[in-house]
Amino acid sequence: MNQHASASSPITPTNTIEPNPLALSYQPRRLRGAVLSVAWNLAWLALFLRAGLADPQSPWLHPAIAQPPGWPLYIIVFYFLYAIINFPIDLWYGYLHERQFGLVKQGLRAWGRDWAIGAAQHGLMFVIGSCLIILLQIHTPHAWLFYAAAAILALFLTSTFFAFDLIPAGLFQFEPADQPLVARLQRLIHPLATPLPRIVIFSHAELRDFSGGLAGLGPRQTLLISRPTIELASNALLRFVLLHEMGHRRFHHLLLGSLLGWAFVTTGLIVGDLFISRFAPGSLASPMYIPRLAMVITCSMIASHPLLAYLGHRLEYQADRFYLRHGGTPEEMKLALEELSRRNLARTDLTRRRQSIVQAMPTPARRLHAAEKYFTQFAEPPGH
Amino acid sequence: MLPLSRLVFRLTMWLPNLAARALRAEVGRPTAWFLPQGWV
Repeated sequence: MNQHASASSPITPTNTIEPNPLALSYQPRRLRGAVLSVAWNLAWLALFLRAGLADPQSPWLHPAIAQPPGWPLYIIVFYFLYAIINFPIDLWYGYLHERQFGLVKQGLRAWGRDWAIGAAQHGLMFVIGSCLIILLQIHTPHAWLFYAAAAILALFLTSTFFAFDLIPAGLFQFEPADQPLVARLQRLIHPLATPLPRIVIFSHAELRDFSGGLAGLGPRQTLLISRPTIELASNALLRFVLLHEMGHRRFHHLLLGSLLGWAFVTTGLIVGDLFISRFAPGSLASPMYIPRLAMVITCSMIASHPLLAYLGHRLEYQADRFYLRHGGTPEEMKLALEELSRRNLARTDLTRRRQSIVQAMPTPARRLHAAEKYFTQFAEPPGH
Repeated sequence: MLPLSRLVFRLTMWLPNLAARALRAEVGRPTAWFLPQGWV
């Protein structure tokens, strides 16, 4: 270990969580799957553009598909190709690999059905968003970027507001928490007196994770909790996750997240337009714009991933601090994180910032370190 | 909680963004992106 690395490592004897060998084997494969999948998509897209399939004069394309009223078909076929090309990787990493770790209990047919539902909903959103962009380019050629940004803001806010209602039917079993359970959970977060939002328990054949969180905004905000969490998790874990979620709720993190997402996407659209109007100006107001925009937005989302992860980590730390200010302790948090990591096969050995930045969540060791620091500096010692 | 980067990538499903599912490191988990994920 070099000097710089040891200086940036927050490991202390109190915040070390024993590494889980299964997680050490499982998590790198998931990361490899993600990297391979991005590279696979970009390679196919480059091939698609190189073969002239986004060129209106291409002999491969029927002329009707590039013009009104046939052009939405081009976008549908483009998405269909995307889904087919991704199927082998999805099958390998999402089914065969997960089964190897005992995380899939269902058969291939049931997985295939879920895959089709997921791909169809993604496809619907992809086609609606893409058609919207092309329609705006056709009807407001000079101000389309402005209208597209406004429409995307409205779409993002609406879909975040109705997030719980937009979960496709047939994937999960939902049950509202009954009164005794709500009362038990409310007692667990005492002394915080703020009422919990509506709580819904979700189950699925392959679900073993302790997972959940908030979905929806304002009056539609719902706290989703997986069935295994309610049935198997300790009180310490439930207290930690409930107060953590109440922190996200208190600081309006979902609304903040959709506004940030909109800012990133709008930047991607503007950068995309600069590139495309320079290198392929003829594709404006035609469906041929979509594969090019897909390339640019994909690259811009990859480039912005570290910044998004960093900002996301700030929100997680803020929610952890909310937990500590409302009766939580680093000791209880350590027990909860250990239990969560064991159950969800999360890695507990990543301690440096540069290891953490690709993860959607800050790593358990870093969260515990931050909690201990906060607790000794600002919170009253327990018993006072 | 749905961590920020996952929330943003889910929202970008509206746009032609081909890396969205992969960047959330949930390749091939058809049910994963609709719901908030784990707490670690």
